[in-house]
Amino acid sequence: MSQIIEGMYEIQEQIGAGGGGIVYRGRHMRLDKDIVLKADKRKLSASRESLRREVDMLKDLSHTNIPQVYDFIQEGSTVYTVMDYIEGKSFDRILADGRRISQAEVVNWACQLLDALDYLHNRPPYGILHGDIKPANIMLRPDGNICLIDYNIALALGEEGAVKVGFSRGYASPEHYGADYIKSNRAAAVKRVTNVYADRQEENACARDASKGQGEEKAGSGLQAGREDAPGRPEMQNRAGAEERTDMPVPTEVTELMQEQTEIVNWEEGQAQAEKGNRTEGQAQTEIVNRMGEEDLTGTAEQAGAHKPARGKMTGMAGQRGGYAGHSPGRQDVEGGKLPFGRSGTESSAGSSTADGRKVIMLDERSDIYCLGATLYHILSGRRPAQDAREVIPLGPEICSPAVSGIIRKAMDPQPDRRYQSAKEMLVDFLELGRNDPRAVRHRHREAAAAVLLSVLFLSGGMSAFAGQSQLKQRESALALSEYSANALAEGDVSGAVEMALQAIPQKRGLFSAPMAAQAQKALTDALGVYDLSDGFKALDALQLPAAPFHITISPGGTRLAVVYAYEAVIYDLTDITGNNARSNNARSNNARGNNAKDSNARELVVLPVQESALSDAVFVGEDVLIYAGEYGVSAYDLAGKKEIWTAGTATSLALSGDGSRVAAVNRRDGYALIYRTSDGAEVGRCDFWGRHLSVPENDIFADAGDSILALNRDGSVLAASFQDGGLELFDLDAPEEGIILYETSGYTHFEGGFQGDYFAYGASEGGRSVFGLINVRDGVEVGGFDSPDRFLVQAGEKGIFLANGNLLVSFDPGTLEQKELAYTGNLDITGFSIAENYVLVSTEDNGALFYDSGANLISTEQCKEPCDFLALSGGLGVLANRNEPSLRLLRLEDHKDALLLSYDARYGHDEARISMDGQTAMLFNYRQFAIYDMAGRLITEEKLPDADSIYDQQFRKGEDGSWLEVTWYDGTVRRYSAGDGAVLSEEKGEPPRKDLYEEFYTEKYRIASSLHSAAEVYDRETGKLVSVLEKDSYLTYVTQAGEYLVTEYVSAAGERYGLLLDRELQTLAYLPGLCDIMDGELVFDYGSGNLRKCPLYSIGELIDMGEAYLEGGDAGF
Amino acid sequence: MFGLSGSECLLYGGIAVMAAAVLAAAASIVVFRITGKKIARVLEEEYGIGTLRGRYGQVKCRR
Repeated sequence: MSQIIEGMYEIQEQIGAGGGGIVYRGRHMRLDKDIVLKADKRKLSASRESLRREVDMLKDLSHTNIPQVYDFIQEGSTVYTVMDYIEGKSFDRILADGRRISQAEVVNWACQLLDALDYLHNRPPYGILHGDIKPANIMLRPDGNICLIDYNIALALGEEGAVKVGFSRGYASPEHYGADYIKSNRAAAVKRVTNVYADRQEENACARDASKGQGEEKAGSGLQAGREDAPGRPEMQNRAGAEERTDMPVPTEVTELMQEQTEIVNWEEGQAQAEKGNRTEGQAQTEIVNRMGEEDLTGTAEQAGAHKPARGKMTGMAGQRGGYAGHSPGRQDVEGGKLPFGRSGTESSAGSSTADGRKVIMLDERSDIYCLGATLYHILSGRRPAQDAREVIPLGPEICSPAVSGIIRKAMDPQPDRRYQSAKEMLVDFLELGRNDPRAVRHRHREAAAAVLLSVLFLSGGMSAFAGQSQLKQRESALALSEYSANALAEGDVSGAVEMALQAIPQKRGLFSAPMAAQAQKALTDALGVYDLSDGFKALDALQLPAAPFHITISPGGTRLAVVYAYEAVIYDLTDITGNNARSNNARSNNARGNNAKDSNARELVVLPVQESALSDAVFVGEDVLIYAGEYGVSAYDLAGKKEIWTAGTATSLALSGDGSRVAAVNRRDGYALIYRTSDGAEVGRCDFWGRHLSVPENDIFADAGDSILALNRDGSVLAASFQDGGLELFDLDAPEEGIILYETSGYTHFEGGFQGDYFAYGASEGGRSVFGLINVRDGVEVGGFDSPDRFLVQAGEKGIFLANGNLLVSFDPGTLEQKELAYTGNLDITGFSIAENYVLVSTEDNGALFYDSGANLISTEQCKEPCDFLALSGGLGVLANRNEPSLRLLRLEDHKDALLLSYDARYGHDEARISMDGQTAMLFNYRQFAIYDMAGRLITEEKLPDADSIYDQQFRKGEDGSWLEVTWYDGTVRRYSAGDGAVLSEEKGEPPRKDLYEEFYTEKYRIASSLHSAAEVYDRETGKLVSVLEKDSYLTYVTQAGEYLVTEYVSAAGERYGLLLDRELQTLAYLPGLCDIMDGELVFDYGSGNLRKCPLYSIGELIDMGEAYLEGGDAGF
Repeated sequence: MFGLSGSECLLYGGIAVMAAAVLAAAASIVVFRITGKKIARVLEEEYGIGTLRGRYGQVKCRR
């Protein structure tokens, strides 16, 4: 055989034949390439165009697993299709050879087939259906890949009319037979088959017998081969579940009778029928017409080696067993006349009846999928699946994995709606086999669980570390703020101290908030001064200035404060602070500063420009008029009317007469002074200095106005002035020739003094020599004087003459020369002083500021960081300033009368004061005596203690049966005195006591051991371990537990009694100066001033509220 | 506890937990890598999927 077709293709040998035609192997003569020519025997009744379209469609196919179609040739009545020659073996040969095929190989090939199918099914316009997938149509190439062959019966989906379609026995889907397993139609199908059965029983008996032996292999899991087993046969389980499957058993006879013949219908015939019949529109499916008949159904052609296909004859019942197809009821006398069949998955019929009553059945991609599934079933198991899809036995685990078995089962589901709906879907399942394997899933779950767990652990750790770090940072910040608060308080900036103390206290509690630091509470307590109930001048606030001050002065009534700095004068209204009722204002006298927040405002009244000189001066004439060295000249300013009254000539230094009617003004180094009337600024006099000038440096911005005397007497008739050359002279302005020259010249470099009445008092000093002089101006006689190596500080004015030297400040009566002590500063020299009604303010060389009352009793002290260069005191307000600091410290007189518990004789000497258990009496005692007062301040009794020098210790005890003073003598005598009336309750003689005053105190948590010569030690009561050491330089006298706090009382080395408020961790929360007792949760203080005072133990919440209230009221002023 | 304040315990304890988590994660990675390879090998033998996935890439379809 060497036939040449179209002069290009040489037919070399026949390699196969089948229902579709004869297959030849040939050669492309031009390309010298092996090809296959398939000679199609079917009648070409279709138009050439239709055939051309079909071939063109096949020719465009290009896929690794699909043979290429090259050409289509019509020669005579034969149509040749030219395509690739595929080397290798078909799978039916492979199966026949008995080769063992692994599951992995099958899966690999299945994926290739599905890829090819997907390609075909998605070809435009409507896809291509293979229609006859079976082992014989799958080639295994030498390279191990497969090729899907034989497209002669490929169906173009969507074409009107049916093409010739055949199916291979055992591989075709149920649809090929017209079988429909939708539940609602099952009964109809059974009924139909039943009807048929009666008619055709005998006819089909032979066919039934003939098909008995074909393909009845058992599956690994127990396939039942016999027909007689039909009622009990296991049905193929749909992957989606069996809920939709009918459980109605089908009698064997019915099953058999349901085997129908399927006829190959000519394409043209189908088209004609479509024109005439009731076709459902829009069907994108391929229809095959099913008709009862006895026409042969030939097997498909194969393009394989020498294997000849089994030519199955599907007449009657023959050859219906063990196939890849299902049953189809498809009888034309079916009730309702239609085969419910279709793609949509609903129970509506997609089929229709033709004009002659034949039924139309739809094929689609799912049919190919069924065929593929059946093919894979065969390859894996080595046997064909049952022809009835319901009878297919699932592949057992000894054949393949349950997952693979499941895929094949789903692909072979009798109901198309329950199969894979596309090749890609099935392909995905294959590709996902590994991923979905329980072992892989388990592994992934374990990985995920470990990742989640470790992530949570890591994040938890991170959060904990972050929380710890936040807390530590906050604590660090709190400690720093507490320190800043303490520093601010030391500088007199109370509002700053309160603000920083509040910032040091955490706003809210939470994981990221540090617990409140004890230092913060202490800082707030100190700033508010809640536990300082002593009377005296207490820090009120600090005024910030634009520059360091040159000069400060307070008005006579103490309601105005003028501060001169470079180069302005600012006047403050002190009315709100002093109020003229400071001591009598009960609303204020509770004296946590927070209660007086609104009173801390010093309102700025006016800012006035002054001469650019450190000598620029300002003096108050009454409360509302200020005469100052203005920028344009000496000026008078009305503070009430807020306007300038008058302006005179330029001057820096000023001196006001005692009566306020005259003011002397000198401009820097001018050699004269001008006298102005204060009421209108009229110049009323001039005083020549005869070529001399005040002690003023060339550059007067560094001058100190306090080094010179410029003073007017009471009526402004005498001017005192000191000069650069050390001269000191009193000028009589009315009679210039009657002036008094005190020093023509001298070596004195510093002068201070003034007039008091008819007297002029002065101090002059230079180096280590100082003099004080007192002059009767009227008589022109020096009436007194002193010399001293220490500088004399002299102030003279309407209040009197005051003289300080060394550590003593006195008032000096010029008439009697008597001195009255105003302040004694011990071993510290006085560096400055200010005198007000009833109080004296003294600065000392250690930068301290001491306040004394009219009895020269020290009432309060204030420690400054810098020397107090400027002092001013009026009524209840003290002002301190330093020439290097741009700020003023304000201190206000505070009293705490409302905190009074009881009053006693301030002269009664005592070391301790205690309140009785019943709160009715107070006992004041020391080693020599004791006195008992009732709460009204009445003395109940007063006793002397015998042999006071031999007293070892005294302890005030409180118990259930009362309170008493327990006195222990060195000889071991212990006597108890009642705290109610002083009576001796008991007396015992015991062992001589230890010399170290050892004592133990017990709280809920601690045992505290106290001895005289060492610091108190705190031990944990449970573990016995040393927990902490308390104050090192003080002797612990009492420990009291007050709720969550501990109150410890000490006596310092200097003999001062104080207390410390401690928290549970023994950290100090507050300093309690003067603490003497605790009564009913209240602290009792004794300052030795004749009264006991009490205040509650404030909680942190109360302290915070007080602090915030203080700040709210304090912000308005500055 | 151990002389540390609560804040310090939170900080150092948290760091310790984080370190433990990192070490456990490292150990888990090693263990899971080994077991994962073992399972992959078994699945490769069973299903032969490894090479296929490369060929077909990310095959997606609507179910």
